[in-house]
Amino acid sequence: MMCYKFSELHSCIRVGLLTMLVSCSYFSMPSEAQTLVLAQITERPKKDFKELRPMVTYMAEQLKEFGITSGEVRLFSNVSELVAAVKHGEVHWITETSFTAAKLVHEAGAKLIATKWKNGQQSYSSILYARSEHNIQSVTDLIGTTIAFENKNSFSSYFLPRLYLESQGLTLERLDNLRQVPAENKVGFVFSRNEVNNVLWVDKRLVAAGALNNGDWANRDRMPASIKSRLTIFYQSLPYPRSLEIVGPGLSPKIAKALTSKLLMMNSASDNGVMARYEQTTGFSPITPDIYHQLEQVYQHSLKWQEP
Amino acid sequence: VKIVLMTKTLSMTKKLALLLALIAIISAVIIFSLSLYFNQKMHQSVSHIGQQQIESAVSAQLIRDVTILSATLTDNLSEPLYNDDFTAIKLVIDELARSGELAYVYVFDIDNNIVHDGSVDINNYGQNLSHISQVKLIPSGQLEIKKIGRVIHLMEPIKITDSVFGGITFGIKFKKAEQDIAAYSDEIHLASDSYYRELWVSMLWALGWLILLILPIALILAKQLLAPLQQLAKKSQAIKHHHADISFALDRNDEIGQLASALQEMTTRLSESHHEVIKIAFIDELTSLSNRRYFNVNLPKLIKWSDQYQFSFAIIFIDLDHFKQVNDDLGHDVGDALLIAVAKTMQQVTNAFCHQHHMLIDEKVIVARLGGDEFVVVVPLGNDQCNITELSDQLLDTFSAPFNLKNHEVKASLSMGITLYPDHGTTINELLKNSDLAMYDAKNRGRGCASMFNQAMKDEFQLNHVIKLEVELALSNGQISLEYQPYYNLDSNFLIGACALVRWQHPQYGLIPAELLNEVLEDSRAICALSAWVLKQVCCDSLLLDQKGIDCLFSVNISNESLTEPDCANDILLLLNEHYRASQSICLQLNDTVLATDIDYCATILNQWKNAGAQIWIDRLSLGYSSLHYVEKLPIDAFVIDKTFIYSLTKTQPSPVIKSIYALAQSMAITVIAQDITTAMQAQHCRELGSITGQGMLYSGALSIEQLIAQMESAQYANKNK
Repeated sequence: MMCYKFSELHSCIRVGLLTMLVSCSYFSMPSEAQTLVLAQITERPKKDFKELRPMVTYMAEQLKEFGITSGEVRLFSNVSELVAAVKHGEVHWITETSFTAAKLVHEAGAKLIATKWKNGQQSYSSILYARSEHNIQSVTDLIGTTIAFENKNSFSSYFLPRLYLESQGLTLERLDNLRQVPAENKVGFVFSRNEVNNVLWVDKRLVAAGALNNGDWANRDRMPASIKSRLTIFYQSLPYPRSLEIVGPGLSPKIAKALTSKLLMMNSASDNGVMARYEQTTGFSPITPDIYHQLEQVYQHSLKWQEP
Repeated sequence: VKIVLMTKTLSMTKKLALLLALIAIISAVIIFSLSLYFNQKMHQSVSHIGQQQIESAVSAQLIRDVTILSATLTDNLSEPLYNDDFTAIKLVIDELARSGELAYVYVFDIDNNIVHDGSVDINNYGQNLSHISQVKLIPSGQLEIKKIGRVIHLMEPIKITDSVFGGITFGIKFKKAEQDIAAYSDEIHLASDSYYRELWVSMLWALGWLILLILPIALILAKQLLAPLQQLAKKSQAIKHHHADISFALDRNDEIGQLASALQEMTTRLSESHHEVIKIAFIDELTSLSNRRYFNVNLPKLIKWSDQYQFSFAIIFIDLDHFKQVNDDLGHDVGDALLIAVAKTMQQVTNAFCHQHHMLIDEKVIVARLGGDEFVVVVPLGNDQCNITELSDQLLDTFSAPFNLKNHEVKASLSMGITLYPDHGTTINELLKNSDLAMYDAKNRGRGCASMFNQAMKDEFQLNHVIKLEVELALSNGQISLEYQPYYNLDSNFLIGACALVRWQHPQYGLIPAELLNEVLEDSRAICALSAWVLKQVCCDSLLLDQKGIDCLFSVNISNESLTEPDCANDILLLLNEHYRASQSICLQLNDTVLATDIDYCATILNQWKNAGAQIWIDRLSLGYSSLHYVEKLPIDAFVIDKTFIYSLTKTQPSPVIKSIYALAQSMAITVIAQDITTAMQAQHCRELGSITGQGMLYSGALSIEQLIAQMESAQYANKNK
């Protein structure tokens, strides 16, 4: 009951802020693209707004010659809203993980323009781990237990692990909280909200296993050494781009090309810290064909899921 | 030492003032010190209580804050706890940690198992609270809060709706609050110290002013208190300076009044006693006249008044003639009675004299007995010196009648010496000495008379004094020499000898007459030495003539002392024996007065001398006490008759006395030597009466030994030629 109330409050704030931003962008003509709109799906709109705003302002300035007069950030609470906005040309530029990128590419006609190095990571992989004493030899050992993912939008800590578990023939069951027990033949899963909870829940045996990306596993803040020593990785996925820069059909190819070029040319020495503030970006790389292939796989798999 | 000296020299008033001031100052200092002490105490107490109050207030406030904080926390914790959202729980705990210094914090579940302990890895996860020693409270489903030591412990349930499904417990250290309190206390202490310092300075100022005020007040008070004592002290000083009329009476009934009365009584008694003492000290017990002390005390006063008021006064120094004889003959009681009668009469005559001359009989008139039979009368004179002889005459007249004392008729004779101030002396000693000289002059004048002092008396006295004092020195240093008055054979006018005469050429007084020398030195030992010296000198001179083969007779005056004193007599004998050859021509000439003393002794001595070769001549035969009996017993060779008789030989017939002397001499085969023959008639008479030897200015004056020798030689030559 309490949980419901809390979620409702949280949603209200988020929806209010998003509505304000959306209403602003309606008055700008997509074809003229006078305002460059950068978007992302978020659970922490305030933080992400702060992180995206300098980049879009900077890039709007850079693209002045193309009639861009200002930059704007739009944040979305779920993929379908973002897809709709991109499709309508309300959003020109999206920075997202592979799962969202796959949706946008396939459902909104968006195009990848660059991979983003986040925290020095161009790509990451998903990790499944458990306390060492569980001695998990196979993912089937997880049946009848609960695994903790981070949240439903997490590519590395939800989408990829779930993709893997299901690909191994396991059936996953969403649990509302830790007190719930999964069906005997299923693997229960809960969202830990963040990496720290994910680690602690595993360590304190609240769940049998957890999922993180390899960057978090290496991060001492999120994975204290004392805890790490008690844990063992029992699965690591292939690497996927850490983050992707995408342009929607609302942005003219000319400007999209200029934007791509500008991004690829950015370097931390001359950008006045714009790149670093942009979700700790250390650089951009061009898109390779295998990335499209990976996204295709992801998209295809996601079609089988019900939204949790 | 300085303080002791200072306190000794300080007056009583200042001492009392100082004492009062000191007491007041000490009291003030004590009060100030006490008030400072209690003030400090009170301040400390207030400060302590204040601190406690602050502590408890801060503590209470902290507890309230913690309670509110905890309520908020539990609200914030309910959902994360429900969701096992460690991150959210950690955020809340971090928030809590920021609000105060946490000793510990535990979020626990319904089973009191720890869900979060605030650490990154939640090491205590799953432990039961009861295993954690830091936790002092037991979960009760209610808010528990407790301050233990320096930690506030809190335990509060975490509820969703009304059901408890966990809780939080934490300890907030009181340290920061304590630091705040300490800081506040320090401020209080600083303020307190500053206040205390100000109080000190104020107190010191007040004390300083108080001392400045106290000193004059104490002085005034002491003056007030001691004023009557000072009055008494002043009066006592006045008494010390002989202001006898001072009254000590003070009109008060306290101790000082009593002291004043006591002093008054004491002064009265002292005065009475003083008069009594004066009476004893200044009154002669026997005669009730003033005594010598009174005279000695009052004469200087009289001298002073005399100088001041320009009047002179006379001193009559009176001695009773032959008083010793009265005592010896009639007894001391008669002597005392005589003194009393004389004193009374003397007083009466003096009083009468004063009345007669309209003089007040006061301190200026003194009739005093100086001691024994010596009296003194002092009267002021104005400028009329005749008055005093009038008084002395009246005294002499009055005393011409005999007194009838204890059935004896006693006649008192007075010898009086008179001096006048300032003519005859300016000091009491000088006046008395000169009066004495004058009195002796009266005695010398035959007693029963008065002599006014004159300078000659003093000169004579002084000369006599010099003679007595210097004679022996003069003998040794040659001031005294001999001269010779030649003797002649009255029939043939041949020079046959000489009488040795002493000549003293004094460097200051000139030639001192031989008579005076004899008179002054009479009754003294010096005369013996002089006699011996003369005899020895004559013996030596005699030898000179003898060596020339000249016979010469020498007469030498021998003093009475030389005979009566055995030692002196023996000296003469030794000299005679020593100069035996010369002795044969020596004639020892003695005054007949000496023969009255002890006839047998005299006979013995004179015989010894005579046996040594000397002749014995008796001088002044008729004037002394000699008698035929003595003349018969003594080995006398010659009588010497001097000018007393010779001057009477101016008449045609000699007096029967001289004739009888000559007859006596003739009958006893004694030669009569005539002296001081100045006229041929006198020589004629002497020859006729029977003197064959004589001397005098008719024949020759005194000669030196050289002259004598020369004359003797020429006489011898002439005689041979005849």
